[in-house]
Amino acid sequence: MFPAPFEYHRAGSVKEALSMLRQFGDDAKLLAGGHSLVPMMKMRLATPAHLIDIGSVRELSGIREEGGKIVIGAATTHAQVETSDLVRRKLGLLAECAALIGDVQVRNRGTLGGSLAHADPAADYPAAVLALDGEVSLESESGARTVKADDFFIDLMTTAAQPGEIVTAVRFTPPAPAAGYAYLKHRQPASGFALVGIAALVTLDGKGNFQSVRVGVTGLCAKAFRAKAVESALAGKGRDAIAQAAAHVTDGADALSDIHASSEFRSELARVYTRRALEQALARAKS
Amino acid sequence: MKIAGEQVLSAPREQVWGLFNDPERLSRLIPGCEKLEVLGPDEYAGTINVGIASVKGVYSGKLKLEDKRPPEHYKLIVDGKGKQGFVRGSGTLDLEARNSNETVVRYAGDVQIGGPLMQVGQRMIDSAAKMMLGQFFAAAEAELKAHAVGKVARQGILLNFWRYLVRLVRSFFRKG
Amino acid sequence: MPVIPKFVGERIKRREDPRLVSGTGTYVDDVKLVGMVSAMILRSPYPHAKIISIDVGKARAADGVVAVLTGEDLRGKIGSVPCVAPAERVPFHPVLALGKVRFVGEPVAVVVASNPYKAQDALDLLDVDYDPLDAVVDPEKAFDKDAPVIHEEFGTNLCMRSEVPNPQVDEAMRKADKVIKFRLVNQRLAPAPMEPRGVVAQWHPGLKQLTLWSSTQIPHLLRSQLAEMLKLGENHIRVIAPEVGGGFGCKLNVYPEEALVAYLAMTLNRPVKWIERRRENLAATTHGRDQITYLEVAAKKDGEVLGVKASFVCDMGAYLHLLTPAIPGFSGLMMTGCYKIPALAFEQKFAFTNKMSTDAYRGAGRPEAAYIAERVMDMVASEFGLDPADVRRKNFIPKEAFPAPTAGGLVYDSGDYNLALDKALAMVEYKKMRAEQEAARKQGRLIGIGISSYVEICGIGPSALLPPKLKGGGWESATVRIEPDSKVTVLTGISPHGQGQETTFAQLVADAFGIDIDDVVVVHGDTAQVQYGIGTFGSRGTTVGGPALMLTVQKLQDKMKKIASTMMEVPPDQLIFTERTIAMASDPSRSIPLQQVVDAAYGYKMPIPGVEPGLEEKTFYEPSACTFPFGTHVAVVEVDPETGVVKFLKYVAVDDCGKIISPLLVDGQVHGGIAQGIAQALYEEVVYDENGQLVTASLMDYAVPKADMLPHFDCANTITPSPVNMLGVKGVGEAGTIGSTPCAVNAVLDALKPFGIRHLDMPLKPEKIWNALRNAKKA
Repeated sequence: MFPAPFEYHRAGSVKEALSMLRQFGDDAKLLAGGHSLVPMMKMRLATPAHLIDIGSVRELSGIREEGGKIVIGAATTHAQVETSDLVRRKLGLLAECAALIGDVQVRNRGTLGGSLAHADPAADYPAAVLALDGEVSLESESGARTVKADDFFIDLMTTAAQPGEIVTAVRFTPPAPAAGYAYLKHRQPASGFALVGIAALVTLDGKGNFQSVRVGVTGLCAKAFRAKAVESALAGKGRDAIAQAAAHVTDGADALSDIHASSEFRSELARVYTRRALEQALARAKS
Repeated sequence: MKIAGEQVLSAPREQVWGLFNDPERLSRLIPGCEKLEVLGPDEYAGTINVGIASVKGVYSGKLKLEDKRPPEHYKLIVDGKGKQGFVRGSGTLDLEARNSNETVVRYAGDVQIGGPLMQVGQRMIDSAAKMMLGQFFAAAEAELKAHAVGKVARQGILLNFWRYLVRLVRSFFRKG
Repeated sequence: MPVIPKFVGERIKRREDPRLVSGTGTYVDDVKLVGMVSAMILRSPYPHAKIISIDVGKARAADGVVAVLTGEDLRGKIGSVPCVAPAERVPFHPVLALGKVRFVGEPVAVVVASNPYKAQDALDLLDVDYDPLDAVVDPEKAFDKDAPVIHEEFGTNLCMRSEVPNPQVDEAMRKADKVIKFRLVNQRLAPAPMEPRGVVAQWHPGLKQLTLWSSTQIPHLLRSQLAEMLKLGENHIRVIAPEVGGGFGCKLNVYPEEALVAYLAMTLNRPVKWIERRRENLAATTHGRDQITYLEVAAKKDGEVLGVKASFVCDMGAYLHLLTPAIPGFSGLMMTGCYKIPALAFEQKFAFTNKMSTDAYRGAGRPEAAYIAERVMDMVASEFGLDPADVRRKNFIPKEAFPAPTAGGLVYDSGDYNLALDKALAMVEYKKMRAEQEAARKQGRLIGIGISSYVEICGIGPSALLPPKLKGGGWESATVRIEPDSKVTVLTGISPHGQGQETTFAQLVADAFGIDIDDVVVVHGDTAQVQYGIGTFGSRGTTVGGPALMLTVQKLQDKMKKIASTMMEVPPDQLIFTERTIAMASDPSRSIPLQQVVDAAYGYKMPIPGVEPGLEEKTFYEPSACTFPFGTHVAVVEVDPETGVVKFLKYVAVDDCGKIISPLLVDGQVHGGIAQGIAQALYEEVVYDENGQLVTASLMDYAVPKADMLPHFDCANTITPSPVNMLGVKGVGEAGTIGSTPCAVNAVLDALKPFGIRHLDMPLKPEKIWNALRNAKKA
């Protein structure tokens, strides 16, 4: 497992990283935790000539509250998210999701920004970020912009981030304290990735019916997506509507198929886990 | 890997047939195609430089067309390889005129993919192939439209057509 | 002086572990020699193809490259990779492919460069032109008329057909109330040791001596085979097996890379290192199992099994490795398990396919056999509506019958199968669990209880059981030396790689001489230090290596007693070893310090007639028979009817490995074994796609079990000593693997029983279960 030769650059700031990206263009890859990139390099399936390490850029790391939003730096590790008091209190869904990613070693190295930017179809985070209506902050030399999670994932490992852009942070508006949530996944036994992962976030009205429902789905298709058909089928309804609504998670979905699960089984898992995630979210929600 | 599907292109069948038999124009439709040389009648050699995310590679190989029945059918034989793996297989392409200005393209193929790419990337191969097919047809649609107004579409056009393309890919592979 | 405790039977920790867990062990990759260069191997991406040409020009010219060799460069220089087991058709197995590649991962060329990075760079510059051929993937289709032939010289893909006929079987079928027929598959598995293979070779041109470090289970046997492949004298080769990070049978072999790296070191006159990468390990280290069995079982209504007839198709892979065609034999011979089934007949067809060779994998033939026997018992129970525990009891060989001859022609040494079954059922609270299962079923919950009563064959064994071409028998060797300071050095012929004999043997020796365990050093795995030995496989380390050791200890004790007897003027037969002294058994106050006896032996100032100086003895021990450990495992599982996910509620293992020297190590072996066995039942599977491409070539797709995929194991033992060796031990290295696989499968299928699902093949992945449930509900 010996990668092809490459030049290693450690960026001290986002500005420096951006200028390196401009300088090296297509020959460069950003390195954060390296958990997806480095194995590909070791197998020489990826052979970037330049690695720009943003893992130690201070401004990219850390979790803070800012004007009612919670801002998580792109280079924050899964372990930091999983164990952060602030995240646990205000973004319980994200902490729950982070805790189920890979294993301890992966969680100690892998980063939130890296996971989203890589957009592996079976990554856990995208489901939770979609359900939490996160906003991805991007920065390039021509300025900064924000893309809603809904618009961020485009296709298989393809995101709205353009060449020359860096994911700098993800911003979340904390759901109401009474909201209920759940992240459930069916683990691929070898890799630990999600064959299917469902993130549900719900709030209830005074009668205990669904007021708002957001469902993020990963693993099922080439990209993570929001199950809007499920969400709309539940608006204003109660527990009884869950089973039927959950079945809509596969509406229009072109489910993946591989040696671990056929598209048929993945679809069934998605329906079952969506129902269970919604039931669990409902049980945790307060009117 | 079995591939099968169909796609509607907004051009008369003769035009689509013309496009699919013109190596110069075809080379602009194939994602990452760097060159497509004519080796002989209906035989081409090409190089493509493709990748998804960090996994990029250069593949070179041969393309042969057989059983040609203009303007409706040919058989396609591919044999290519790169450092990361190889592709071998064959497929058929059938064109059916839906109306005077629309052509249904039906394709079916059986492709053998091997080497490191397949050995460690089996879970992605299907999706990657679908994505590339989507890109191909999006480019074909753009090329045919541009051709109709007498312009040559540039490869760069793809970038601006992302949303269109994604919609296309989805509609295309949606299970009936 | 503190009292020296006794060690045998105590739960002491492994003495190997502190160095292993603190990173101070020396594995092959830790060997660093001056001037050492790196070898890297180009492997075939095709399952079956002609090699048209290999362009090595660019690679040879690349920076740092020392050598590039292809199969043609080695023609006639290195002999065939050996297969010592008998087979009708044994193909030449080149170290680097010659003219054709026959499986994905087959070595095609080697690059040697100043470091592994440069070697890999140069590897990327090699250009091989292949002409792909159709591949044989399914062993059952290998014999089709239109199947591509893998070895042209044979004109067929049939490696061998063997048959053990028995006319009584047909009689049994006639007498049966029912003949139950079914097919089952022991899928292909990858041994996947934590440490992949690795080789370092160094050539001393002056001495004409080759030193080879290899991650192997069999340093001496490897030396013998290498000598033949390289045409060197055995006394010109030293093989060292340093720390070996797991073998599970896949390192009971001789590999192309071992001969190749040795050859490179000799011809380049520089030390050469090759370390296998995980992808290579999954593609080009021997796989295990891959046997398909068609069964016909003659059974009576009361559960009695009268006879079993079986037909096997066994996948050899493309070439034959050291023991490839020998493994399925055990599956056949052990197929009647712990049951007094009177008639057994089987036929086995061995197929060449375009895949990696199969060979020994933890259990090697016995897991397959136990799986068959235990599925048979459950099939019979299910057919006649009987309790699976009762069917087992009905068919058990009774304890009075030992030594018990079997239908397979073996003689089981000792056993008490009811004892282990009863204990396991008590531990799992069988009756209560059956009641709970019944109640749960009424609520739509799918709970299953699986039993597996296994027996296996260990401690191989009498030399006649091993292939003649092996250049080694079933014996084992030991040297014991009491050093001048009365510390004890043991040189054992076995080659432990995780089994812990540095601990077990030290326990035995410490107690025998009345010394502390820390006074004992156990040396193994170096042919220059240790007398010829056979190695560690088939749970033979303690079973055969142990008696070899203890016979040697006895020789030394006798000599020391003779010396002490002269010094103490007490007859030798009245002396015992205790507390670093030799004492009179009847009056331990009359004693002489051990050191004084040692001084007398080494100083030799007052020679004792008939007693040579020094304190060193050696034994080559030939066992008289094999041992047959047994036990019962019981699992309780719950299957999620919506997703097919299997959850363990309980797992109980009662293993009988005879007398126990080191209880903690026995538990460790059982735990690891259960993990690997459950993995076969539920998770692991080597997958080649329909074209012969390996698609489980990384641990991202090959599912070795993680701790959180396994239940808590409730372990216990019964102790039925083996009469065939002086220690009464039976071996425990593979027991867990053998007992657990059928246990887990039976439990899952028991859970699915209300749906009329008779059988599903392993691994029982959620999708398979979900599909079966869905089809059953449709029907």
